Amino acid sequence: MTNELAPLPQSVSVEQANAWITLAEGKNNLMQHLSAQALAMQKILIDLNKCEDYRKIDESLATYRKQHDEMVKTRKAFTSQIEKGIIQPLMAKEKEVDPKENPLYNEMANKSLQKRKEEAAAAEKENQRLRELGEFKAHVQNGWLAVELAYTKALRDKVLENYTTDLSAGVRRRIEDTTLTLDSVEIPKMEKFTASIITREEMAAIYNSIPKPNFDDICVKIGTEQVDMYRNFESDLKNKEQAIAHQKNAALLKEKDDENKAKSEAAITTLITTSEVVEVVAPKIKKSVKVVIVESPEWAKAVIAAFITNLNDLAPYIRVKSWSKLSIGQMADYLGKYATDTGDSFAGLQLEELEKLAFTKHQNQLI
Amino acid sequence: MIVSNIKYHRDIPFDDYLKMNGVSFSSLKADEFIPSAGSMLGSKVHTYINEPEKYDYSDAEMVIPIAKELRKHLGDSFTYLEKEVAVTADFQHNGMLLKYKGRVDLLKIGRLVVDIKVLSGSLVKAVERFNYDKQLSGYCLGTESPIGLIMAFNKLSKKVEKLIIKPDPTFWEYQCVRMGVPA
Repeated sequence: MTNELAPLPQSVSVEQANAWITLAEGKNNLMQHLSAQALAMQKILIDLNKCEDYRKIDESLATYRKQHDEMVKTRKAFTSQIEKGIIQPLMAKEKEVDPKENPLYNEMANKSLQKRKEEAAAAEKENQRLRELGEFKAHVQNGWLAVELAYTKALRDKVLENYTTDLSAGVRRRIEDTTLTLDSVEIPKMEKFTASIITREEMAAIYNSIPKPNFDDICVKIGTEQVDMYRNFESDLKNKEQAIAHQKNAALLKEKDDENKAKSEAAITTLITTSEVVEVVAPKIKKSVKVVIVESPEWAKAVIAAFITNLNDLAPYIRVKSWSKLSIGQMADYLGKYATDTGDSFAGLQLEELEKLAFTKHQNQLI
Repeated sequence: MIVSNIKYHRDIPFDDYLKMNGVSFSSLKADEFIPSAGSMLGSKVHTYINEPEKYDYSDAEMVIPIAKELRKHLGDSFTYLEKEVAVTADFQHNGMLLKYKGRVDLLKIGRLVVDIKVLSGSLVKAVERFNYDKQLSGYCLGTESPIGLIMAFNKLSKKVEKLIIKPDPTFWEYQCVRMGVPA
């Protein structure tokens, strides 16, 4: 170890170095002085242990308080030099560029916010389009299911009508004639889709990509069912009423079964189709609600009333170390945070919505 | 890959499913899996949605809103999907046979497999990290379903995210070769 001082860095002048040495010396002297004073004051109190005269006790306590005031004054005289000479000039630089106060920073933050809003609006528009495309796809898929179901039902109704008419008249029509009647059953139309964003071209592309039901096959299938039904015509003729009731019941069961299958298929198709939509991710904008401050006793009363009314629900938002120091301004802040999450409002208080860039607390990363 | 001998097992308690013979996606990951608060929350949401009679209402303040949100997205399909169906099947590739087993959250046999998840972040990142696409591929192959759907609740964004999975047999073919026995 050597007592020699290290050479001064080039950025430190001799005057500056001397000032720091004087400061260190001053601090040490002050510490010595204050320590001695603190000991002397403690002695005043210890000496009072054996004293029973309240006049003398009061006199000593007054001396004690006076000496404490002197200590504070002496200490402040020294630390105020540090405050003025060191802390304030350094903090001034911080303040110059403080994000909360720097006008250029705020201008840029507002610019970013504005751009984010524009992008978010564009993303929302695009997402609406994508969702509508998905909805249209589900509409066509489920539409064809509904058409198939309705067509099958219409064909079965026709078969039942033919059979009932023939049984009632006691005359069996020729198979060729029955096929002709089925051919006359019209294919129902799909429900119309009202598009608000997507184009006719986009709709056409989706419509053409989804296979239609094979209506000829459906007609042939029901025609076969009809042929099967007519196999028992002679037997049913012997007991027309019961036979007709039986056929109506059987048709009803088939119809319900088909309906259930179609409902299940439609629900699953909708789930798949809507899940296929990959939405564009919009930039995030943090929105928060704040209680508008009005400097009036009525406003203060309204804040206190809302705070007390909602105290249980406000619990997660309240961050106080000391309840005795809870201010009305803090109550208003907590109400604002609560309103941000819940959308609630409070009697007698005006709320305003704020939009800002959201940064993570610890890493200052944009959310 | 050839899939055969498909069998569905309904109303089987989870513990009994674990004892069933077969290799599942979870069993392949068993060494890495340590139940966390997050995965336990996911289990509770599953139970509340699919087997409500078994849910004890613990953490209900979190479980119920998540379940509600997931049910909203499932829509009417929830009525028509079978719940908690276990499946066993033989996966065969290059002459090697793997006994597969899986337990599907929601199923329409031959049509759709739905897997419900509760995640602490985005679904896409979780799929990359935990290979959920391979898990769903196993379910789809084992149930002959052409489409898998992961429906995840993202706890961070508090939103439901969905991802369609088209089954890819590659991972399971590799497992046949790695862990299978000669067919």
